[in-house]
Amino acid sequence: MTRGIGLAVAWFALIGCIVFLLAPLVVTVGVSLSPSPVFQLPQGEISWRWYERLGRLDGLLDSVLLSLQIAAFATAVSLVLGTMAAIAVVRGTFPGRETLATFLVSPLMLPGLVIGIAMLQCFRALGLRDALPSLLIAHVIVVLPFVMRTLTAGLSLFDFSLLDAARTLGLSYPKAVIRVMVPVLAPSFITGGLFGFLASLDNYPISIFLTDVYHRTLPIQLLQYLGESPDPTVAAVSTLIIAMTALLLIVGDRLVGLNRMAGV
Amino acid sequence: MEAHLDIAGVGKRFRQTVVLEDLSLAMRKGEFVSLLGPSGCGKTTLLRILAGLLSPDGGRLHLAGRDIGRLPPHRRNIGVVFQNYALFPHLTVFDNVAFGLRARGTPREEIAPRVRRLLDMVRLGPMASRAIAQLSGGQQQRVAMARALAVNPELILLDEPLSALDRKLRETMQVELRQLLRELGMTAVFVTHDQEEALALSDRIAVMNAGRIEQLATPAEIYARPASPFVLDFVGQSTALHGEVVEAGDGRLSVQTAYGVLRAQGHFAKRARVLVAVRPERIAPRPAPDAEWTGIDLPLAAQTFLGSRRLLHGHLGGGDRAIVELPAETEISGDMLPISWRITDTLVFPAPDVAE
Amino acid sequence: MTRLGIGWLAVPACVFCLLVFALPLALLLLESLRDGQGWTLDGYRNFLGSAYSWQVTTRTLRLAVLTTLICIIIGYPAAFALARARGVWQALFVAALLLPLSLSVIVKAFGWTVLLRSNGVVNRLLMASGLTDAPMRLIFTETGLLIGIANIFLPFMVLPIFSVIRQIDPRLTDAAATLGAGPIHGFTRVVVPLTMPGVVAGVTLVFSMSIAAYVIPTLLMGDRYQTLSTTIATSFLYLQDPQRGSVAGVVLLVLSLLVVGASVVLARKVRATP
Repeated sequence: MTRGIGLAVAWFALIGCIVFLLAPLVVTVGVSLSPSPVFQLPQGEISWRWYERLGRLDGLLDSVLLSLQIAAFATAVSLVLGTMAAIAVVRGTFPGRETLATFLVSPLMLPGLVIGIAMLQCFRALGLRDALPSLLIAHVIVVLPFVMRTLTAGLSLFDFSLLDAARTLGLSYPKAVIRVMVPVLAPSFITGGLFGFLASLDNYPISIFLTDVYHRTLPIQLLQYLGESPDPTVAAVSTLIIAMTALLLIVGDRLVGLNRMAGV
Repeated sequence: MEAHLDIAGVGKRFRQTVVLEDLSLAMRKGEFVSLLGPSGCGKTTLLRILAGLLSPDGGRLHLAGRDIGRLPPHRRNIGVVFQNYALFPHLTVFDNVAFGLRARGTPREEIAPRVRRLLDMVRLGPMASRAIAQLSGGQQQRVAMARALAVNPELILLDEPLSALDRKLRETMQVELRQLLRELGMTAVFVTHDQEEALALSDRIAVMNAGRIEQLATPAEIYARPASPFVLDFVGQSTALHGEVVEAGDGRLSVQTAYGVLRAQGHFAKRARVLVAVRPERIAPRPAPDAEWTGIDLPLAAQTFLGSRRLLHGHLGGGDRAIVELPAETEISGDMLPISWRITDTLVFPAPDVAE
Repeated sequence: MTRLGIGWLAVPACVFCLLVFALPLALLLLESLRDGQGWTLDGYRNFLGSAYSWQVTTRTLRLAVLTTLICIIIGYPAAFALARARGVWQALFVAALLLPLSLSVIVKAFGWTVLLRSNGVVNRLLMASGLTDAPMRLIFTETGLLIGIANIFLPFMVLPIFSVIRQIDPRLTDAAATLGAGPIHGFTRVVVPLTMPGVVAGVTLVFSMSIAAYVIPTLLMGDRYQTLSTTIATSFLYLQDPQRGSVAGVVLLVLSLLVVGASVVLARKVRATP
């Protein structure tokens, strides 16, 4: 009896949870398809007019390209640095490994705005005033914790005798790493890289301090549109972002499996 | 005759701990040698040094006339079967077996038939396209064998390859493994801590202890003539009594033990502390019938029935032990049993410094 | 040196993080201790002496506590249901959690500005159901803000708890039952302690992220509603008052470090008492 009630509560919470979580997404998609210029769900007919206006948004394409470029760079660098550090943490015998791991993951847990402002002051003090290199460097800090986390988890389950086996079968050490360790750890690389990539694409609090007029990342551009042009064109942009995120998750699911990604 | 594998003066220490001490071992082509010893005796270290996964502090390694001491693992042409098999989880059975061939750049058209032949040899032909996770423990073990053999190595190293299997399967696999290696004329070094396995499989056994080889000999010799109390204790069971030589001369000894005076053969000084031992199946359940026999009255503690045989355990103190093997149908009554054995079956060792 | 062994591999990431992450934070701390002339504690004196700063700080903390509570009240039972779901359903539910989790905060916040408008979907539903007659003011209220923040961080509560529950052997509750524990007793004594590692992870994530939230308060409350985060941003971006911004930054940083530190201690404790 009590068990039944408990289960009913649990299911109710889950369903409520999902409706609650998806509500803003559904509304955004709905508004983008409505012909009405005030934010409304479509009543009967669907219109693509807001999508046709996307081209008129100033700087949208530039900011998308810039954000993609930064995210790709930061993810690539983080995968290299993070993999090496994760191997050191998992396989090393030096003291303070746990502390080191916590340190490398900590940017994820600390306020982005504080990190952003601290970077701004530091970069200025060091004479780095250009927006693009600042953003590229800063975003590595955004992505690295994701890679570290998934890779330390993945590596602690990795059987290092696989490398020994590959070496005795005729591969040099670097080749063994590439042919055996990389494919076996692929799920960790993909999961950490994917979430890190998305975090970089979405980062506002750090980027806001490092951008200039010529280098505005997508989130900064979006927030500006929200401030100045409250018409459903923004909903159309948002819908495209939802679609792209969903697409990336589907790709991730095909490669890794959603359950594995959820475990991170 | 030149040895196929020649290990000369190999040593290894980690920090202050000596793991291998100036170790030498030579093997003929096609020979099957077991490295037998408790964990921490250095057997796995030696195996890793042979494979090139660990570099020794000194010494030389020759395989088939080549100096392999400085070669990296991938140039040594040595196959290894790892304890946990170390099969590649992201590859199929076929691709696992083909891995070494591909790593060496073997032409594509040669790979498929060779892999198929090996898989047939280990009776896994129909499993070629399976994933590793779909195989049972015994099947995984056979894939690991096939993978190590596929590259046609000069030497195969087996690191406790059967220890993960249950007893019944292990015994079947032992026979299979020995047959397979013999058919291929493969030279093999087999690491194990299981003395029964070593006795069953090996041409010769190297019993290792604390980084040294205590004895290198055929299984029969190791069992019948153990070179040290350690080997006596580690391989097979035995009765062993501590004592002091009270009479010595002409290679004949009398030893005073806690259970009476025993006669034995050997060259020891009078008053020397010794360990007198005998294997359980050499013991007869009766008093010594003549001067060629010697024995004691054994206080009995317990019996274990093993189907065809029966084991009697003595109730002894002070680091002594006694075990007697008799046919199962032998009737035993009472708490005391007179036992005796031939003097020629007696083994005598200098008493170990520290009784364990 | 050789003792470091494979540890050398960590050097590039370490050096990078020290230069780009730790060093700036240290400099920020120094900055908060300086004004135009030299070293001073004035920044902290002003901050701690101002009732407004205290209001902002307590507001930030209250927001984080309430968000965490809402998330755990909804998220904990939901994680159980998620773990009981089978096959395709579970995959769909997990996908429904992962999509919002991966999605841009700005997009979600935008969705909520639409939902919470006086002529928005929430008010229409409320009126249609007869719960209210007139549209409720939701946007630019703390209620609306809490709904928005909870929405954004909820998946970070559900997923860690879910992945812990997934590993609990269902036989444990059965075993508890055979030992005479009733369902409630079995749940509180056996299941709840086992899920604690997930709860600690979830609470840490949600609390440390909501204490630092910036985009959502800005969008759902506007500039006049100040939290520590918005104080930092306005001090630097509009008021050109780096000292005040640095002090607020250090306060926020210390609060976050306390949360992380507490979570490390708690996680160890939770693991130590099975």
